[in-house]
Amino acid sequence: MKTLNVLVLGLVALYISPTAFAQRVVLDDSLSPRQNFSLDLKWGPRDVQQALGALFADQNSLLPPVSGYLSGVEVRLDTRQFVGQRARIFLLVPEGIAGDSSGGTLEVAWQARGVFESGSARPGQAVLIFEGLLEDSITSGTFDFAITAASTGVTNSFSFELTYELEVIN
Amino acid sequence: MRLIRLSFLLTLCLLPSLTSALQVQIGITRPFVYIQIGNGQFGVFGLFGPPIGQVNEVTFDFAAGVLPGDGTPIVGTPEIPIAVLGYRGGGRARFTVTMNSSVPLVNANGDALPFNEISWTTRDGDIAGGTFNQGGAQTLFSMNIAYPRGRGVIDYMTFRYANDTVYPAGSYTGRVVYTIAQL
Repeated sequence: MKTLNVLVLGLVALYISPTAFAQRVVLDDSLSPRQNFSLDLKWGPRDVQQALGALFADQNSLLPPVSGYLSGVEVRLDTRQFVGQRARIFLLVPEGIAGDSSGGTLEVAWQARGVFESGSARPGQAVLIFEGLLEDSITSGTFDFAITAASTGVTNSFSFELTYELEVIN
Repeated sequence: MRLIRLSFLLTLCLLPSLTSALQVQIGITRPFVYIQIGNGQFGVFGLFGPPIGQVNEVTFDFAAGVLPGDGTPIVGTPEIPIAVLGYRGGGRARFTVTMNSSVPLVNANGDALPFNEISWTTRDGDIAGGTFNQGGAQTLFSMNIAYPRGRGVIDYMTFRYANDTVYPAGSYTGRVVYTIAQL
């Protein structure tokens, strides 16, 4: 029982003082103008050209992935409790997405404008998008997302969430 | 026990608001299909292929010693590739290639030579051989895409003129139009 008491109090301490531990917390992005997006994964003209090239080379396995794009996605992260602290922010693509039929080929890539860094991630990966001093209560930027999967995959619809995690640098 | 409950409640109260996140709904609502007959030069002409006058042409030349109508098949050149690409979407998964050979070949005098004099074989067998039936929508090939979602097929057609009937002399030309449709 005493051990349990210590554990619970330890959790309390963790959230009272995040800087004391290199613990990641999920940031609130509810201030972002829009949070729900739908897109279709498909080929564009360049993909068709690439696919034809693969066919003529008898390389069916090189058919290009299907893609979908979300442009100008403005993200506003609530960082007010970390203002004045140095921190890292990660963009996380969740692992084990329910209904993901891409056969492990799903990838989220982004070009960032503002304070965030560009990058890409597969399910289960958290990629650094910011490292430095948090000066504002709202840390914001704009992303152009490109979501791709193998053309042979994605046989049914599914959804996932992108989350943002913060880690204070001690 | 009371301490545990109090501490747990305190923990819940101090947790930051974990509101997330950017939600992405991935759909596969749109099917796609594309066919290229010959060397379509997609990079030059895009999805709709080359203009009239720049489509591939197969020529049947009579070799020395072969007479019109003597039953010796004439092999046409060149071999013509046929490439089909498609992926299913929105529950639509069946794609069919049809051919329109209803307009016969004609010579300069207007004499007609029906397309059922011409047949084809394929190099790989992905697409079956056959003979033009002079119809407007003769089925060449169908594919039903279940899984995987996307598929590409390429084969190469070699055409043969039967040469078993004597037609008026002349150089005959004609056109077969291939269409791919999602059903």
